[in-house]
Amino acid sequence: MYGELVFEVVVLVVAIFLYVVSMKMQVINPIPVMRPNWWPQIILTIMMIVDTVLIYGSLKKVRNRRGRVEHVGFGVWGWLLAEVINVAVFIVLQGVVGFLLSAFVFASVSAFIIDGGFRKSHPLVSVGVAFAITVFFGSLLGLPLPRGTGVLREFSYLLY
Amino acid sequence: MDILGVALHVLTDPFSWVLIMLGLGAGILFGALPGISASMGVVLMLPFTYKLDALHALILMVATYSGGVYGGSITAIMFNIPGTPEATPTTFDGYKMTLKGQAGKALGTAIVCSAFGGAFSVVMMALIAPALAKIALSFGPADYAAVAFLGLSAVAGLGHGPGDQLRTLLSVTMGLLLATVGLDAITGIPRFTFGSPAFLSGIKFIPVMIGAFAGAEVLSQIENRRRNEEKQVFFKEGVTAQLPSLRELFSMKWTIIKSAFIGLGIGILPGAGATIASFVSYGEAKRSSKQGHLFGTGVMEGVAAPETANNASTGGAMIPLLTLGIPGSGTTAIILAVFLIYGIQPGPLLFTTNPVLVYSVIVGMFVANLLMVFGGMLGVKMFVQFLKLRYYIIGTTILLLSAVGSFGLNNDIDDVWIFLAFMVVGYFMKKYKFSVAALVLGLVLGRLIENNLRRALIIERFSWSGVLLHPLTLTLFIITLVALVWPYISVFLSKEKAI
Repeated sequence: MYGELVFEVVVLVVAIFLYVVSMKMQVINPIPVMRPNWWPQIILTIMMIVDTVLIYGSLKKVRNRRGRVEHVGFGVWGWLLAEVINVAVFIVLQGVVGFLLSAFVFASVSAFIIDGGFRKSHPLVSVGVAFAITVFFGSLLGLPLPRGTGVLREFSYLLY
Repeated sequence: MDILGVALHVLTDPFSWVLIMLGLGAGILFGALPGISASMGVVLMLPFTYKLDALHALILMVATYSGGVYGGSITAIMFNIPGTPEATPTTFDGYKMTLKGQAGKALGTAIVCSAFGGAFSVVMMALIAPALAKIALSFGPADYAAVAFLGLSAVAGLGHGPGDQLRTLLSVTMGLLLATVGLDAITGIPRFTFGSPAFLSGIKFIPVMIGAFAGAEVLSQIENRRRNEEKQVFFKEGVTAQLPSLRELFSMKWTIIKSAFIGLGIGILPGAGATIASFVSYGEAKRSSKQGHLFGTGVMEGVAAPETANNASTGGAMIPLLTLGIPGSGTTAIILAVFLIYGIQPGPLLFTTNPVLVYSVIVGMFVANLLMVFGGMLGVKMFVQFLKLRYYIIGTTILLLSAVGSFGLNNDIDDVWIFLAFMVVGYFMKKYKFSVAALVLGLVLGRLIENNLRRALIIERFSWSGVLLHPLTLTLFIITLVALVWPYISVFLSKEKAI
C-alpha cells in the first residue's frame, strides 16, 4: 500500500519536473498550437490531475489501515535489485568481453537469482542457453551481437 | 494481384509454411506457459524477424499471435491455470471436465473452436477491411485524431473499478508523454531530450515493449517465487486431445456462431480484446444455452464459447490496425511496430499501395488458424512436457532474448539500457495495477494523435469549433467522451438501484 503511494508520488514529482522543463522550451510562434510544449503540457496537466486523485485515494486507504502492521519483504527487494544490477552489468560487460562470455556470466547469476539458490545444473544450463542463443542469432540469422574488445573480439569472429 | 493470386503465392511458398508452423508452435508454447501472454510471445519472437523481409516477418508475427491466444487454454484445462488472461473463463468448465476424466475432450473442443473462431474472424477481416479502408480514405487529420482518441479512451475505460480506470488512464498519459520525446514534428524543436542526441528521434518502441512486457514479467516471477506464490503445476501424463464428434459440434452450433460474432465485434473495438470477448461470450452462452444451469460443472459449451470468442477477436483486432493504422490492443501495437520497422505505415492506403502484403498477412493468418487443429492435436503432449521446464531456464532465456531483441534492431547498446529502464518501470506498473498495454498504446498512438490534431487545428485556423464540427469527428469525440464517463455513470446507477 505504501509502495503504491510512493510510486504515485514519484510519478507526480516527475510530471511536475517535466512541466517545468516544458515551460523552458524554445518558442518561436506564440500561437499555442504552434508551440512545441502545447501538447506535452496538456498531457502533463491530465497526468497531474489523475495522479493527484489517485494519491488522495491511496492516502485514504493508508489512513484507514493505520495501526495495522504491514509486512515488508526487504529480502524480496534485494533479489529484485540483484537481477536489475545483473542486467546492468551484462550490458556493460558486453562491450568489453563480447556477447557470448557476458551472456554466460549473466545467465549463471540470473539462474541463481531466479531459483533463489545454487543448483549444480545452473552453470551447464547457462553455457547451453548462452551458446545456443549466440549461435542461432549471431551465426545462423546473422544478427549483430556485441563482440567485445581485443583478443576476445577477434575470437568472436570464429563463432558469429 | 487478387486475393486468390496472393493466396496461391503464399501457399506455394515453402518458407511461408515453415514460418507459419514456427510461429504457431512458438505461440502455442508461449501461451501455454503461465506468465507468458500472447503479447509477450509476440515480443519474444521479434528478434527472429529482423533478418526477414516484411511479408515473412508479418506472417511469423500473426501466426504467433493466433497460436498464443489458443495456447492459454492448455494449462487452463489441464491445471486450472490460465496460461493467458483470455483463457480464464476456459478454466470454469475446462478444468471441471479434466476432473471428470474428460481432459482430452476439453482440449479437442478448445482446439476446434479456437481454429473455427480464428478462421471465421480472418474471413470477416478479408471482407470488412477493404470496405473500411475505402471509407477511411476520406478521413481528414481531425478524424484520424478522433479515432485514435477513441482507441485510447476505450483502453482507459477498462478495469474493475474507478480506481483501476484512473490507473489505466494515467498509464495511457505516460505513454503519450513518452511519445513527445524527440524533435517536434511541426517546429523541429527538441523536447525532453536533455541534450542527448540519442533521444532526438524519439523513444524507440521495441526496447520499451520488450522491457515492459517481457523483462517486467521476469521480475514479477522472481517476486512471486520469493514470496512462495508461484502456482504449482501437477503433471498429468498421457493426455491426448480428442476431437469432438460432428454431432457434439452440431449441438453447440449456436453457441459457437454467437461466440464467433461476439469475439469479432469486441476484437474490432479499440481497447477491448480477447479477454473481454471470452468473458462476454461465456456469460452469453450460459444465459442462452439449454444447459446454462450446468455451466461451471464441466460442460463442453463452457469451453467452446470462450475459446471461439478469444480467437475470433484476433482477426477483429487486426481490422483497425490494417485499415486505420490504429492498434486496438497491446499485441496489435507490437505488430504495428513490426510494420514500422520496415517503413510501412498501415492504414487505408496500404490496401492500394501494398495489397500483396496485406492479403498475404490475411492468408497467412487463415492458414495458421487451420493448422492449429493439427498442431494442437499433435502438440499437446509436447507442450505439456515444456511445462516441466524449471523457471530459471525460461526466465534466463527470456532475458537473453530480450537483450538480443533490443540490441539487434539498431545495433545500439543504448536500446538495451532503455529495455532495462522499462523492465523496472513495467514491473512497478504491474505491481501497482497500472496497465503496461495502455502505456504501449499511448506510446504508439501519441505521435499520430498529436500530429493530426495540430494539423487539423492549423487547417481550421486554430479554431476548435472548426475541428469538432465535422460530423464524423464530432460523433467520434462524443463516443470517446461516453466511453470515458460511462464507467462512473454505471457505478452511480448501480448505487442508485441498490438504494
